[in-house]
Amino acid sequence: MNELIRLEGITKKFGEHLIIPTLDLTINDGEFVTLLGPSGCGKTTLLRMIAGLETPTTGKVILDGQDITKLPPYKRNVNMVFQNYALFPHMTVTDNIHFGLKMQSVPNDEAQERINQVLYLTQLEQFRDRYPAQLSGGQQQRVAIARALVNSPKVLLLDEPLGALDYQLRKKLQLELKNLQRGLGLTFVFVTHDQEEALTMSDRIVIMHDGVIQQDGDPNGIYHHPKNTFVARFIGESNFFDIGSDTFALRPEKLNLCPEDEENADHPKPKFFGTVADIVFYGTIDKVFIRLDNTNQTVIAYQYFDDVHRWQPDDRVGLWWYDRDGVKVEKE
Amino acid sequence: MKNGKLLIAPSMLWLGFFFIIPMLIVVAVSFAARTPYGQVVFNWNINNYLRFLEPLYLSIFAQTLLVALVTTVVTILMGYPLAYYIAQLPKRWQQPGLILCMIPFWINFLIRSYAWVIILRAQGVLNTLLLKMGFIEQPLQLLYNEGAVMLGMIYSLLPFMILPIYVSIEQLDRRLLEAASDLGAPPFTAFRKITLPLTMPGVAAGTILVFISSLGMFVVPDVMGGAKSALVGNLIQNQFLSARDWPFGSALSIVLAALSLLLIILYYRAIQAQNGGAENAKNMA
Repeated sequence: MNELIRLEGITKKFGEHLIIPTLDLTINDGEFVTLLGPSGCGKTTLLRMIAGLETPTTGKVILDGQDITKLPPYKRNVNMVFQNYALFPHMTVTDNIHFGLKMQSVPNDEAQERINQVLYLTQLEQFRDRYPAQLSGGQQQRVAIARALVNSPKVLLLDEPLGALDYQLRKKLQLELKNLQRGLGLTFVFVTHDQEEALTMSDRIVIMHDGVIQQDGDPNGIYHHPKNTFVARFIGESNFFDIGSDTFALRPEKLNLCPEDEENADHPKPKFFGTVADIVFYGTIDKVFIRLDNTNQTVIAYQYFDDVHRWQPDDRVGLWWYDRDGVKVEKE
Repeated sequence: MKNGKLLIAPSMLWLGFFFIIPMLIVVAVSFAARTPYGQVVFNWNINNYLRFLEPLYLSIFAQTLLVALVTTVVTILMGYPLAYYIAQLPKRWQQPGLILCMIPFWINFLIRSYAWVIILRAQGVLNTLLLKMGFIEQPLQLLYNEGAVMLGMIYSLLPFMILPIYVSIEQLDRRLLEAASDLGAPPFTAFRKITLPLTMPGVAAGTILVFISSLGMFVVPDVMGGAKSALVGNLIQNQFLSARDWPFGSALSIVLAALSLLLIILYYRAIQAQNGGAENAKNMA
């Protein structure tokens, strides 16, 4: 895969406030990369640097081999889908999409063809003459994507583009976006704080915290092999167990429960013991909260609807897992 | 909530007594005649309106419209950049900036007009300065001409243009400009395509305020224009105060009011047609 974007030794200060200490990141051509992290972790700032809307305090932004650090946004061949879409309210859907092409002086015939093509891709054909205020949130979101896509940018930058939509619509658009990216073979840099969104859509996830990359890898690797407690906590649910000087992370679905006094079991011996504190219904699963002996720590295990043993509050339990499921993590 | 309507009763009564009824009286008087001694006789005729069609009065009207138009255009050209500049200032400097624009209003309007006379007259501050510095040998005729009237009007009405434009620029979503830049628009293009159309409602509001105010203005032409440049405002004032011809003065007032109304309607139509999305812009916010 060819390298498309390289961020080299990037730092960013807002006044005296250091947002990004030092950061290097490479994004390859055709990748769907997600920058994931809690708000204030610097992910949006990073995205805006690629767009040219922020300048790094030090470091370089390289696009397709060219140093674009000093280039203003309007001279960069990248396009952004803004968090609240930033559609031009005084222009129709078509005029919004046409804007970028006009700026590049694309001849009218070709422009119309390209506009029709993105209108088709984003299923907006019947809304072409409407103003943004006459569209629903999901439709506005599609216009924002169409307006960026029509310019055939080298990279499409998406700043929490689904954040303002309701759950069902978000699910639907996640799939649409992913298919669009695959179908067109485009490079997407996607910013979100929603870990589920990141896991379902990305080829690669870059997890950030306090301006530092915590882990960079494919969704599967990040989910199953979190490098440190921050990642394990941020992605999915995790339980942490200290054994000796090491810390192990365990997903609730990998944590098994057995009666405290069980004998001759055909599974590894329990490593910890505790008392069931609470059981909460979650649809397909029940979450079983267990208070560990000798500590105040509470851990979570899942109980499936067809499990033989139904746990009750105040039951005494042993906690066991297969060694391959416990992931040794660095402490934050 | 039904009783909430009572809250508007005081203002409705006020408007009724001091605005609507006097207006109706003016309409009635405009169809009356006057005796040689200035008394109003209600004999229902349209002679006052016919008299308005005499070339003398038509030309005064045309002159008034021209002055109002120039004043409006100049205040837009001066006010927009200033409003834009203030709106770009850091938040804590915006309020002081606006207050600076408003400070002249703390001084009585008549006094400010006479202050201009002191500056501009033949032995005034400006002429003395220019003479002493040797730029001119004869005092310039700066006062009592159309230029002086326009200067006074622009000076006194500029803040009415700045404030509404400032509000519309201040409310503009800056992310739209980022989006425009991201889509390849250099700063000036982004201004022309995004900022300007979206702040037109502010310009429209300022235009109405300035244009209507300058149509009816009589103090400035009186003090700074001298006898030569009579505008409709002065004409009306004279009918009531010196000529004692209330019916004709009333007819002139009605014509002026009707004209203003017509121009406002036409102007809003034009703005809306040219800028169809402005309404959407408002709805979205």
